[in-house]
Amino acid sequence: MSNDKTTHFGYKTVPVREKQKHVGEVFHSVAQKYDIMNDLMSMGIHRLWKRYTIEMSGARPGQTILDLAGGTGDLTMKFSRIVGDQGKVILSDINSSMLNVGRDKLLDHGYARNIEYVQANAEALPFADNTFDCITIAFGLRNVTDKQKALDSMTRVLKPGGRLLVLEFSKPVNKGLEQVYDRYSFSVLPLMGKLVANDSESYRYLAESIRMHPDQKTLKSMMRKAGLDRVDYHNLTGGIVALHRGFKY
Amino acid sequence: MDEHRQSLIPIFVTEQLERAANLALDYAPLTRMQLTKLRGKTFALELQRPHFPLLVEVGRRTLRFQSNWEGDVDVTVRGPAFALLRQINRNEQTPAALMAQGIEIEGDQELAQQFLAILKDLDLDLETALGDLIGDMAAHQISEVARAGFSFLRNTAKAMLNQSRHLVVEERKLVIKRREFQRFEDDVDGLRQDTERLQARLNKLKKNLSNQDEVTP
Repeated sequence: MSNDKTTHFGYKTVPVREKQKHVGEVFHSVAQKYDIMNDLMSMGIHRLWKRYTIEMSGARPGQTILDLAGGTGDLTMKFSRIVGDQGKVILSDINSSMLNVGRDKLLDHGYARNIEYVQANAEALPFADNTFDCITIAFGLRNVTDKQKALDSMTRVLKPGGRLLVLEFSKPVNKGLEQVYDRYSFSVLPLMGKLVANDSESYRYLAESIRMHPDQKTLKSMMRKAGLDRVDYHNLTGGIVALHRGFKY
Repeated sequence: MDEHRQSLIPIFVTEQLERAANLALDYAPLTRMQLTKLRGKTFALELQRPHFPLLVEVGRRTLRFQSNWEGDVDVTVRGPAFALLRQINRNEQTPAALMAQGIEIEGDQELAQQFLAILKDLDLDLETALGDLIGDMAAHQISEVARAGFSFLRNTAKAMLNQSRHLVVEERKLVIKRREFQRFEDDVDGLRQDTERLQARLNKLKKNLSNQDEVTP
């Protein structure tokens, strides 16, 4: 029976039907401090990772773009400027708290005209086939229960010729860096979470979920399995983060 | 190859350049207005030595910089970074002058000239920029002092240059005046032309003599 199936939630094993609820609790808890924690944890480098994603998106005026698991709207803000009045950006997240923080932030910065907000599960996107010129999912895929199903769903709603960009934590390519990164993730991140967001557990989950996420090659093969072509990946900061890119033809 | 490594340094540099350019445009309203005529146009700068690709796209109110891009651009300017920077302050922008410095322009040449002309006329209002940081009164006082200082330095440099020129050309006569050189150059030209004429006449005479020798039995 499918209800008895289990999956991972960080290092814990939980029933499949419960993972979404657990992840939801994590993000409800961190939503208000999400941006400041991102800046602290990555020392601001997450902005460069996201900037690179924008550059690789090839976004042009007039296009329709889906920023999936877009949270606090960093990518949406930049895409909104690029696609202009003729284009459209949809900021989507499964978590209502994250979506609310993102919507408030974008409105506070004066972004409203070409942005729509949709609360949706990446595994079952509520959009017609062949809708988007580009889909991005930044630091979101590892929290999805069934990643392959989510990639299939994204491929379905991409237009032919469109591209999917997955920006996600990955596996460092250098052993030395990996050791330093492990120490940092399991010692410093939970402490930072405790001090700033008063929530060390959520940041322990962050570190654990990164280790459980498929490495570069596995994710690439999953994207190919979803029907994407010309799939490649770009290691950033020694593979701590990787940007995967695939095209639908 | 499906696996790539991407350094974050060019992305960081591009981000800082974009930030600086847009900050400068905030204090250069005329330049911003002129740039609106080029809205949507893309300019690729392929700097060599050091290698650094940069795409500049003119937006509604801002410039967007990228270090990675795909597809066609309106103008591509390629060349050594130093030569390109120097070119912004120069008036001679003929294709031959650019090529001599190793600069190549591909695409719409007129658009490239327009863009360079706008950059050259950058009307940066530094006093306002400073005013936003330290207040209008203080900024005005500092600007006045700076203006007086620059004016003094400019006049001093000009005076020193004139005095040095006078010493070298008039008093020590270490180099000749331009007019004297021109006269000398004209004399050499005249002499060269006379010599060539004489050579031609001698050749003609030689030819006539050899013809006469052939006719005489």
